Amino acid sequence: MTAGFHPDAAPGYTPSATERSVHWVRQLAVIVLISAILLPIAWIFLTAFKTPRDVYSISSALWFTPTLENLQTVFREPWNLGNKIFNSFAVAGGTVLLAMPMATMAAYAFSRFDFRFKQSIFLVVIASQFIPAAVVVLPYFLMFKEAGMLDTRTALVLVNLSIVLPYAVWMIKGFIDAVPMEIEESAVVDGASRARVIWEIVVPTALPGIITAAVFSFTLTWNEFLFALIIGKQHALTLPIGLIGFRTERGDLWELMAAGGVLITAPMFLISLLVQKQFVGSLTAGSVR
Amino acid sequence: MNRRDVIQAGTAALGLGFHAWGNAQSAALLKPGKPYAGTELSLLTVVAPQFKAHEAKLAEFEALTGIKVKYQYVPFASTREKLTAELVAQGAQYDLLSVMDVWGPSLYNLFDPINARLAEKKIDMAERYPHAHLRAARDGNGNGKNILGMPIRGHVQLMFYRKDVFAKLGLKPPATWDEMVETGKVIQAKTDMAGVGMYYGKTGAQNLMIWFNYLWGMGGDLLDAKGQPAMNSPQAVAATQAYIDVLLKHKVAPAASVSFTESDAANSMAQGKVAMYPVWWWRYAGLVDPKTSTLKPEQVGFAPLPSMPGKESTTYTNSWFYGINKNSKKKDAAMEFLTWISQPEIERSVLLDPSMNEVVAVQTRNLIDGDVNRRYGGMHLFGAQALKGAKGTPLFAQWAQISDLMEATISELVTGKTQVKPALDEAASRARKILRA
Amino acid sequence: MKRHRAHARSCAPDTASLRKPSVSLLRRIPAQWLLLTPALLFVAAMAVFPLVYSFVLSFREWRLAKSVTPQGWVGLQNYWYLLTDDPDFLEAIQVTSVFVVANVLVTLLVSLGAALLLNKAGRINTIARVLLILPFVMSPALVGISFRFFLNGEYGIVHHLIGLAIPSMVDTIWLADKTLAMVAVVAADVWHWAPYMTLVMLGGLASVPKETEEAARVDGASAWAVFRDVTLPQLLPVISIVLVLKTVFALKAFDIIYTLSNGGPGRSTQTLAYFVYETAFNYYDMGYAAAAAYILTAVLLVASGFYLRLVFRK
Repeated sequence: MTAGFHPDAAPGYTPSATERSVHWVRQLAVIVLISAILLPIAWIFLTAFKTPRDVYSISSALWFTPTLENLQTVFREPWNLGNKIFNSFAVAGGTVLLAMPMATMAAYAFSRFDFRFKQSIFLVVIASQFIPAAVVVLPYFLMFKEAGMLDTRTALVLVNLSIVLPYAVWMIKGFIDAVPMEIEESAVVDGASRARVIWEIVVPTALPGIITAAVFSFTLTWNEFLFALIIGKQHALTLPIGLIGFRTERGDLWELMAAGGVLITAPMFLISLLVQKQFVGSLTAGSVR
Repeated sequence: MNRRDVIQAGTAALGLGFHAWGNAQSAALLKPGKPYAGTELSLLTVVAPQFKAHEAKLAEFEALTGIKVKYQYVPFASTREKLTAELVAQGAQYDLLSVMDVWGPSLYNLFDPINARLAEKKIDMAERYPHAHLRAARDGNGNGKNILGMPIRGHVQLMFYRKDVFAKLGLKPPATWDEMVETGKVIQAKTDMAGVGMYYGKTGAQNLMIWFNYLWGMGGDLLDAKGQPAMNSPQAVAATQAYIDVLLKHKVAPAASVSFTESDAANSMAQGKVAMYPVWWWRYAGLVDPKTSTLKPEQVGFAPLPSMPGKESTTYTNSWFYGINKNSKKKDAAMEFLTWISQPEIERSVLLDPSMNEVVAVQTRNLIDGDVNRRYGGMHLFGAQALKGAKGTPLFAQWAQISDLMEATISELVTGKTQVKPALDEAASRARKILRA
Repeated sequence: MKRHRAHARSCAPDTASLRKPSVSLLRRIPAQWLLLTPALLFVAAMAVFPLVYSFVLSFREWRLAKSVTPQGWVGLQNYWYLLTDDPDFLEAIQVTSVFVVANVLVTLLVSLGAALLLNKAGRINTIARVLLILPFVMSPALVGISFRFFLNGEYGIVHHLIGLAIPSMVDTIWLADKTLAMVAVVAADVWHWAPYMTLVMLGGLASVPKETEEAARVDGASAWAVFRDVTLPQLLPVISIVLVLKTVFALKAFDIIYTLSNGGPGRSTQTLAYFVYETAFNYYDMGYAAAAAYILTAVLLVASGFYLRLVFRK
């Protein structure tokens, strides 16, 4: 228990009464935080296992006969959520894999180099994201139509790349800025090529930033709706389209949407666990400076 | 007078007798010899039990003609965006498109008129479809001479009510809006249910759907004969006041109805929280399905919508049609499909399908069909009757803005924080600007 | 040695600068970076295109119902109407200001507080950190619809819980009240984003040198003083990232508001992003929508111009 107070405290250290109560207040606060995050998710989970009749009644809030039908229905025609989830993973994964190297290199350039109009170019790159998507989605649609790329996952990756790169570049640049140039200088003087310097010194130190940018880019692409709606038709439909599809004439089929929510949460929870390990690892590594 | 009498009287009154079915006439409307075999058509449509039932029959069409039709389902909430992209693209992502009546006037450039094709197939549209649904498929704000597609899905409104509760309390379905309020008060006094499930929330113009009936019943309208805003006329002011007073003054609607959408009110009815619910007839299926409702079919009754004293029952209508994309390269094949899918028999078979409770029908013959009415207790006769006098949805290009304006106005009025006359005057002046543009 | 000289040839112009590492060594762009050109061109093109396209469109009239291609040029007419003759636009600006300010402030405070809270070892903290990503990956539409159902007057769980906790609110219909609807919309967006922002803040906290904090604490400074004088200054870059990101995304938020309150009651939760969407896809008034979008963009451009001047000062 003492380790919770001061990880590097000497053994035999006894916390004072104030420290103990602060600790418990902290724990309580964390529990409140967890509850605030989990309550809506838990409710969505419950909803996924209810028939519509039980969904819209407060008396069957907790006492109801669970059903797996919603989870089964969302995989069948015409919803085909399985296919859409796969597409979402493919598009988001592809975007992140392409965006991270590009963004890191661009961020490095913006951070380390001096060139004309640097500030303006940076501003323009970021400003491209200030325009609400509603205004530009139609010209993009026409562009892809001319290129014969409608309804392809590639088109979606390209669009999402253009959406996430500004943010990724900006985030990573912030972390690279925090790496003192002296370390790189001495490495270069010592004979290392710039590529090695980047790979062995800059990237590891800016890793929290790169991971943050990767997670952000993944999620932005994962949740992107309007472009996917307009560009997709049959083969390139993503999860948000599937979820919006549950808004029917009958109303919002919340029980099916919730089933979709369950299908999102499970893999994301696992991915988060994996990334956490990396994240915590780089947190402790990065703090030794 | 029992159900059977009602049905017989109804059909007699409509001047048409029972029709025997089993005609091979429709199959003969298709071109012989499979001239379009191997064509693949793409249809943009929304998920609805009716359309899924249609899709299940496509194999038959393919066997008859060799044409393969792919149903591309688009989220109902995003249909307009897809249609917009199609309009701008001027190329054909979809050969056939489904369009809702009120969007029609802004999408005329998307469709190829089918007048000539209809003449070729000798299809008499006026005989097949009630005027209210057919006008949705015409250009010129419903009065043009070009027919842009085949009406495929159409709705009328009914008043659903709890037959069991009414029977126990000795009530009968209200014939006027005032009676509805009185009935509601009795129900609230004698049971723990609310009187009527209204829906005043701002969503997709849903809070206008019953309002229009109040408006027309009092002799008002959204636009006057010259197409100018009329929503602040004395009749409109009175109608709006009466509409919101159901909640604000008489309190016979649940308090939560202030922000209810149509489906929230449906759930309220299905959970047994309200005794009356004026809405589209297709809601019937959800009210009697044990998966979505606590009610049994014996408990759910329906009647025509109430109206003003001495006036005929009105109904707002909602119609969808399938049209041929102007830029499609497969228009002839598309017409074959339209011909086939719009056969009265197909609609009828869906209506009589025992595995579904699908009541949607747009064709006059089916509305007055004996078997259909026997199955659904005369609902379709009510529908046919209401359609005869239905003014129908207003059709004009600026509908999106005007309806948005009106639903925002009403959703605000219902919070009780503004007054009806000034709010409607403001709406009218804004509408004037919108219509000028 | 050979590699060193080859490297020196391409980077350093004279041997004098080799003896002492200087900034100029790293600041020249080597030839290898030109390999990046295709990628950068792509980014530039995809970035510039929306800006230029919508700018040009805002000076034209394009009623999609009447014409499938843009119609004539109307100069500043769209802007003029928006700013002088459109009460809905002005109301949208007001709504947006309230929404963005409330949203950003709450998110900032919550995420900073949560990050400080979770910045210690411990199993419960690890659990919390793993959960932080979950709200963010829920589709905004799902979040909006769920929150709408949570607040439903008849069966909403949040409505009931709040009614239990605050008896006077047992009959309040959240989405029928302008203020409460705004609270609901902000709360939904904060729930969606703040946990992720906490992760970002945690990343920033990780780069705060622990030694300085320890030293200050050993010197007898109170926890608050340590935070204010050591932690906070180091966190400023991250805080500014969170601030800017959240502002931009609050301004763009659409799906969550559309599904939660549909802009109502009245138009009290109809933000600029909503206004632009409606004007484009519902009213089919494309030039007008572009102008509205550009007013929003112009404000953001000016703000970020100032911000960047700060960031690039070093």
